[in-house]
Amino acid sequence: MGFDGTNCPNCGADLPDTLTRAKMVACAYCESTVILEDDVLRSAGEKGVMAEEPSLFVLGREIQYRRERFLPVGQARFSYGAGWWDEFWAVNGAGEGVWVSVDEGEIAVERPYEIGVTLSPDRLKKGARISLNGETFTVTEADSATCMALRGEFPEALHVGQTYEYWHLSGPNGRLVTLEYSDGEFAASEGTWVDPYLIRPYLIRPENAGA
Amino acid sequence: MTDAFQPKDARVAAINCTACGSPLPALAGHRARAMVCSYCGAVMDRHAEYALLARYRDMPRPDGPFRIGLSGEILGVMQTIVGIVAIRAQIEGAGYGWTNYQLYSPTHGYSWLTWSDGHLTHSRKTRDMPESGGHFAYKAPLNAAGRAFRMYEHYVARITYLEGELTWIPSLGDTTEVIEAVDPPYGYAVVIGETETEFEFTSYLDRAQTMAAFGVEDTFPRALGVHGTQPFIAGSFHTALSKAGKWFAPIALTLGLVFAAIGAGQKITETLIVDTDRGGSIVFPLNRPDRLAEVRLSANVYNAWSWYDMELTNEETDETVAEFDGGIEYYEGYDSDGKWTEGSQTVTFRFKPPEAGAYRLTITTGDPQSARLPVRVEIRENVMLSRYLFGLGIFFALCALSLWFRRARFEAKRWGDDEEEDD
Repeated sequence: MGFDGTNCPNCGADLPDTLTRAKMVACAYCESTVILEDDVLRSAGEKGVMAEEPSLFVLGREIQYRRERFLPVGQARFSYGAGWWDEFWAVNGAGEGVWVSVDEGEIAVERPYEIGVTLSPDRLKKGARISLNGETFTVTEADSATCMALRGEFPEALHVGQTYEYWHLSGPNGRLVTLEYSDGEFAASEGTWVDPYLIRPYLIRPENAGA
Repeated sequence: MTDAFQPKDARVAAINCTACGSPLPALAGHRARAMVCSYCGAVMDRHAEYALLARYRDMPRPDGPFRIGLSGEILGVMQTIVGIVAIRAQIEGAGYGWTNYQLYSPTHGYSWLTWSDGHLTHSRKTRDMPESGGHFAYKAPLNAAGRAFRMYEHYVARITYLEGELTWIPSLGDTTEVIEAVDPPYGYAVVIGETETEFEFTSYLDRAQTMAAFGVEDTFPRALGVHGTQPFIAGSFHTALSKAGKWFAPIALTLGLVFAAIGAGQKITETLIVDTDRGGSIVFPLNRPDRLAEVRLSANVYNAWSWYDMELTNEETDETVAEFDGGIEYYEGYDSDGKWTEGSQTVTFRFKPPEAGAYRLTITTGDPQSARLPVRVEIRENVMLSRYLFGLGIFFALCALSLWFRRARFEAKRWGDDEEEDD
């Protein structure tokens, strides 16, 4: 039997239909997050307090960058040593999900990346050089971050209060790879930097209609 | 100071300098690394509880219209000045200085507003690396960020002043090697530091608009020279004049050529007056009162002059229609440059007949000093003058070309090599 329950198990409020495609959603009406596992909804914890900050990315507001457009549908805020940054789960014009990290105008769009080798967190020191899929990367940042708050929906389970180790790897020609380590597993994404001055709200114009 | 120029201060949070205790505005976001005290020059690490790292006393405060705390819109983004860095550089043997203002926007991050000889530019970090090149070669192409830049200058920049919040831990006297390229109104810089190379994208800013946006009254001297990224702006009147010139110059010149080809008109009559002391007259019909008629006198005057008085009368009414006088003079000889000539053996008078009909031209040699020579009189009508059209054509051509000349002068000033235009 497929999933047909669309109510928050905590408060009973309607959940978005898109939950069938996302794996996790923060309830818009109560303080809980909901996770879908094996067609069963269960409460995953609190969604935390998301202080309003100025941002080029706002949930539900589609933006355009060069020839691509992105609709942010989930926002996760992480604190790290210097401050905090936001990770937006966004759907692009082709319907693919991408992560958009936003930290005071430093914006990167990242997609899943297969690292193809077994890594050890102990080897990933700042300045270390690592070969991934034939390319040499340098570890430019090594830190840990804690999830502070969640809004909207996500393709994976995230938990407020959970801490992730992460590494930023810089490669040739501005290539960026981010590694995350949590619960004994690595997740990797490769990204491209985005010039915030070229981000525009996506306007429905006749030539954009149906695009 | 008028209301329009009230400085726009950002909301101010403050910390106290850990060296001297002075209150310092804390305006930047968490990615700013250093705080440099405006009073005692202490450099503090914002990421380590403002630990004192260095102290630079008596730094010479740079020239510039802005100060920390002012906010204004640049490129559609509200920005706040959070830091100041003054730079000195030797470029082709000459010393230059400019002031960089560290800008902060919560949405767009950190960038620079630069005041250089009265010009204002905005620079931001870019990840668009150059597609080719790496070594400086004057005017060589440098393709990056989707634009075709040309290398402009190459220098080593040295920090001479620090203040406020900055995105890195700076040291007074730090140097970086910079290669700048331009594609007005944009610029691209390769900034080669000790540990990494960064790239910057620059936009030339309208000074009046920018200073007004920050609420700063512009009492500063006019900008010096042409900035590398400064666009050539012709002005709407000059642009319209040039456009009109492009269209009308060929029209006027073509008409001038047509008039020159067919505008000599038709010869009505011709006669030779041999005894100009006694004078003579000639009667002729004129059928085109709407067009010019012409009297052309020719005499074989050589190193002399002759003078003629003429009266044109209506043959039927005997009414005087016009009176002309004029001379023919022609001289020639040799000097150290060779043969020279002056004057002409022909003179022409034009008039517009009041109506069609018969006219009489009476001609005498009026001046007793005048040479007495036979004079040939030729009457033509339906004459069209091409010289005015050629004049107009040249005027319009100059209008069109003036914009090109102005642009060429502007570009020569930009590149500082008037004698070396290679386009």
